[in-house]
Amino acid sequence: MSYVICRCEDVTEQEISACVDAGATTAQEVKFQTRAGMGFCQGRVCRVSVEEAIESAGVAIELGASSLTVRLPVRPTALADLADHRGED
Amino acid sequence: MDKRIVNHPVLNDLDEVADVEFTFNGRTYVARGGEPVAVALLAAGVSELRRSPERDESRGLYCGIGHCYECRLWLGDSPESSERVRGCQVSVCDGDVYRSVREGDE
Repeated sequence: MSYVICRCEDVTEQEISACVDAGATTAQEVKFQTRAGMGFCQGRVCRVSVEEAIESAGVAIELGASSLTVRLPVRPTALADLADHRGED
Repeated sequence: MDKRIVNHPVLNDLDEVADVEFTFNGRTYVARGGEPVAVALLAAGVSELRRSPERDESRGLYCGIGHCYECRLWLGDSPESSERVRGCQVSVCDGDVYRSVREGDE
């Protein structure tokens, strides 16, 4: 039994540490391999834990491109809502 | 079955509001008008709002403040008119139709 870190994509602590053990050195690599942080909430819940997993493995998070990209405060929005023509053809 | 706290020592007592009816996965439930759908379902004893896609585990209210999207549901009469809503944020209106999975999706 392992803690669920990313609830949107069902990624467990075990899977993340396995990814780090396999050589992932940045949070971004963990994200791309496990999909942690790529789900509906866009890492709002798991981002800190994913970055912590990298840190606790002794790998420093490099600020910038390799840490997880954060897009706040925008929340997930349907493209149809942006186009403002949902329900029309 | 109603799990609501009617007399709270710090918050005020519950106001009198008109009940509304809605359906969730085909079953009809009663909510206090204006309360979030996830709250109405929790009060009715329903804590599982959907199943997780990978592991098929229960998912429901988690953060309760619109942050985590764990309580997301489909709201709408037909697949075309359905929209994703957060169960903790959307107020129930009379006749609302909620589903865990949009009809036609898997």
